[in-house]
Amino acid sequence: MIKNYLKIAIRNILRNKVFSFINIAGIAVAIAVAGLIMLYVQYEWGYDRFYPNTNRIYLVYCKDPGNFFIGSDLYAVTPEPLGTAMKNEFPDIENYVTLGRWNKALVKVANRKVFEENILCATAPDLFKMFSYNFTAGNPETALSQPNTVVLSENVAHRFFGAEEPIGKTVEINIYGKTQVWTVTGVFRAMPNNSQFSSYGIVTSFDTYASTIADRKDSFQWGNNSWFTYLLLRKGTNVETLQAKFPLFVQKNIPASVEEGEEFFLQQIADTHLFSKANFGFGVAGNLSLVSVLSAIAIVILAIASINYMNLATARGSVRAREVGVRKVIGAKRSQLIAQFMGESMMLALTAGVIGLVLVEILLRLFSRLVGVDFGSGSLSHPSFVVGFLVVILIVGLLSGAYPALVLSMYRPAAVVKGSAKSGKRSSLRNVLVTAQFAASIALISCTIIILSQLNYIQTKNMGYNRQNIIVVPINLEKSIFQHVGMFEEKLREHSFVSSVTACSFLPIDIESNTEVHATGRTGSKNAQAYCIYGGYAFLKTFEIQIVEGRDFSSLVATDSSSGIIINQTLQKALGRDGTVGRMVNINGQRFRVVGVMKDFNLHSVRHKIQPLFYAMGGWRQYLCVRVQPGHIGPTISLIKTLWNRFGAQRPFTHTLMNDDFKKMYGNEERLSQAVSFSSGLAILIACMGLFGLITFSIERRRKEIGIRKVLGATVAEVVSLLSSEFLLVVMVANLIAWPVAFFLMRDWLNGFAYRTPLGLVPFIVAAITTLGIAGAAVGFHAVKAAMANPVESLRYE
Amino acid sequence: MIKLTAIEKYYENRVIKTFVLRNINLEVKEGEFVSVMGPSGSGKTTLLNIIGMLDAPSNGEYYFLDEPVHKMSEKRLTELHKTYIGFVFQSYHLIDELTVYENLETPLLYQRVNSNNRKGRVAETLDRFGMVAKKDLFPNQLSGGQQQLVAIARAVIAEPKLILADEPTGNLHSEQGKEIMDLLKKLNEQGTTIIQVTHSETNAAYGNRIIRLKDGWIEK
Ligand SMILES: Nc1ncnc2c1ncn2[C@@H]1O[C@H](COP(=O)(O)OP(=O)(O)O)[C@@H](O)[C@H]1O
Ligand SMILES: [Mg+2]
Repeated sequence: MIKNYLKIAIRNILRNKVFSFINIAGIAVAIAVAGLIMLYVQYEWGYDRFYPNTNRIYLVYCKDPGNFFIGSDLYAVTPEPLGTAMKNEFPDIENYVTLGRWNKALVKVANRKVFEENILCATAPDLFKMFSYNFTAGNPETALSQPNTVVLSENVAHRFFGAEEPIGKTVEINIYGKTQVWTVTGVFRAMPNNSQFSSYGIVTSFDTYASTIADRKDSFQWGNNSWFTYLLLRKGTNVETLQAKFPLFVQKNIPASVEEGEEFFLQQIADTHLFSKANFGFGVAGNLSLVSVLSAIAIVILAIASINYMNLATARGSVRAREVGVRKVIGAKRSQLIAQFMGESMMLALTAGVIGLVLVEILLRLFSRLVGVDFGSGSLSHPSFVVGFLVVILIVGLLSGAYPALVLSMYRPAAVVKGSAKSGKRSSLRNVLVTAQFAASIALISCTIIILSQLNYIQTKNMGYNRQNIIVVPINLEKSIFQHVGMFEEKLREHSFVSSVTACSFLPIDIESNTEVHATGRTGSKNAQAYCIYGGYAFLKTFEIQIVEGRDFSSLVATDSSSGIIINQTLQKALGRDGTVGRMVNINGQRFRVVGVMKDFNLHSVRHKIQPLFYAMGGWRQYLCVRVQPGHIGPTISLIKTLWNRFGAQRPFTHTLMNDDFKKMYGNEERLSQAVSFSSGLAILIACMGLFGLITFSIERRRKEIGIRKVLGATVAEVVSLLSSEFLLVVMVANLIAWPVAFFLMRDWLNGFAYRTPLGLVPFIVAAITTLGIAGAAVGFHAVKAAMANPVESLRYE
Repeated sequence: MIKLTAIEKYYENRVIKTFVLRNINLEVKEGEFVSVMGPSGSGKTTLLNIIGMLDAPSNGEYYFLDEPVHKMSEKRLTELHKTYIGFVFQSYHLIDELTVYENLETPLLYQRVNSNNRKGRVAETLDRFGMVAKKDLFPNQLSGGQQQLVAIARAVIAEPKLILADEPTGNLHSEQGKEIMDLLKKLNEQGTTIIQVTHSETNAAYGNRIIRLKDGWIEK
């Protein structure tokens, strides 16, 4: 019996090439898209979720009431004594780990090369136990018990020593200008890419690290939040109950002198990636919106392809009706027929699945770049992917097969034999399904246009600074440059194509540090929380930020560099009366005079409103920014590189262009737009393939009617409009359904931006025209062909 | 009204030219009732289709009301056939999805007859053919004879000068067939030119002239 079914299924696939192609191609593409997206979702969802103890590991985060940083007063960093104190206080805590990190440390390996590495400093061996590090050499219990010892990941060990035995070798590590020799005592298997520790190939003990920076005593005290604290709770611990005890704990443990009303909370480690609540988290933050948008897209595209199958299978029902009738006459039960038709759709889904898997393999690298995630090797043979992929195929097979199986198996043999089975007729359910397909495609197209126009708005909006032709060189880690930055700048200024040079603490596109500005006590003035940026005399000139009141800093006024500030218009408003040129304000206990007011510029991404900001001289410098004459970027970069080496820098020279840094800031939006535009293209393609199939069938079925109408005097145009109107109506209705959906989705999305493009009618009209055009072409092609046919042909054999 | 000179029709499939009509010379005057007879496959339908402008001859000249059909544009052809010619087929060819009323209305729609006028003419035709009670039924709810009646009503509703009927009684009982033939006769007496294809000598006798086709030739 099975063999019989199989034969019929294969013959049906082969006999109806157009339908089979539409079905298999559509479903294969849909399955491929779903597979890729599943890979990404599994990766993101699985982030930090795979440690054996994951659901008992919690991050302690801290609320610093009123101290807002980019809209949130929650921080992932905590004081160093916290872990020990909590462990002592609460029996529910089985263990804890305190973490510090030193990114881009310079590591010198036995007179060989210098590497830039990220170092993790942790209370060992608890780190290894809590996160189940897998050691291939050395003993995790004792590896870091001696001072100045390190363990390496296999990758790093290989990079440092090649095939040589790493245990016992030494490396020179430079921390805060002090070089120390550390001995390798262990090697562990690298963490998967979706672990927050994956980029930390060197681990040292917290004590070793602490002794290296022992002169920074205040780093280790209550009140200094620089460390990450992870807790391993005992099985069965109630997190709510435990958290409720924290306020009392704070009162008891934190000295009144540094207590500022902090509150502590717990978040499960696996949630910290996608649902991170706190600033300054340890790992990279996940892109939750991309995860959810892509998941939705996968479902929509699978649904569109499945609907194609359902529609084409039922539309062709009358063709199969005879077979069904005959089978019933010779004794088939309905359940057997259902099984047969389900089997066919399963086989089709399986075939499409195989093609889909090939597509996944081909598209993996492109996709990985699109979502900005490196899935690592072997991701396609990972059990979770394999199982997931099979489940997708199974669901598609069931979903697309169930309805046709029910309908087809329902034909009554008498009706079929009499030749009056009416399955090929237009069915309202079929129209509903096609409408749904198109509504989804149209919604995606409108969203694409809106997202792209917001991206364009970001690219073209005047942010208040000029980001073109600026070379950015990070200098904070390179002592030789950092300490002689003035001389470095002088050397650059000697060249005519260098317009201006400034060192600064942040780039104006994203200013990360803030502090309190206190009024000096007169009535009508107010305190304000303000962001601060430090730069040289040429800071405003370099970024072409305008002064609207007062003046820029001048080297001729001695007090400018020590006690002058320039505030932006927003801070001016916030300070009230003290926000006037010439007034004094108090910052961190020091008095500053307001020298000038600069025009507001966007100091963060356009997601956020412009915040109060002041600019002062001196302070910490992270970047050297060089504005060059247009067309001189290349030569200037070589010039800086030459100088970099002449100054005796140890680190390799790196640079960026400010315009690229700016674009990178909107990487999430960029990815979203690419994902959505790509998938809307696919959705409309698959939907149109289905439409094409349906119209082929519908015209086939109406050949006789078309012939009669032509004999009665219908013109080609009349026949075409007769054939197309039904489908165009469907597309029109789909537009009406899709618009509000897209409108509300996009309104919410745009509301996430403080500065945004207006949400007008244009995207919806463009989407309508696009879909009507594409669907019209698919339908029109067939309709014209059918209308031009000689009616004699279609009426001859009756 | 109709003048065919040296009409030929052949189909070319790969290598061979298959002739269906050869050297057909035929004249039909207004008001005539012509019966075309001949064995199956002799080219009767093809001839009727050419006269009805549904098909083009391979060679020869065709004048309809003294206009050269063989030189006409597609548009003019459609125009001519929809104003002057009505068709009746052996298998009726009604539109299954439309009611009797709507089937009758369709040719008028294509001729852009305005709504009031259309209603009047459909009502009048229904009345004339005694089908008022059936106007809301679909073709598959009618008997074969009733369907052919509707088909003839549809052919005459546009008041054609010429009716082409291809075996109009071929699918009917002799009883129903007689009814249809009487109807055609009546239409002819009222002035409509009729060309019918038939296998039955009895039915052929309704006409005033018989043309016999054999292997594409007109038998003398
Ligand atoms: N499109 C075509 N291609 C090839 N042969 C055709 C075509 N149409 C009709 N014929 C042939 O032309 C001949 C005459 O057909 P037809 O006019 O239908 O005959 P009749 O109506 O007298 O039975 C038949 O042999 C038929 O097979
Ligand atoms: Mg015939």
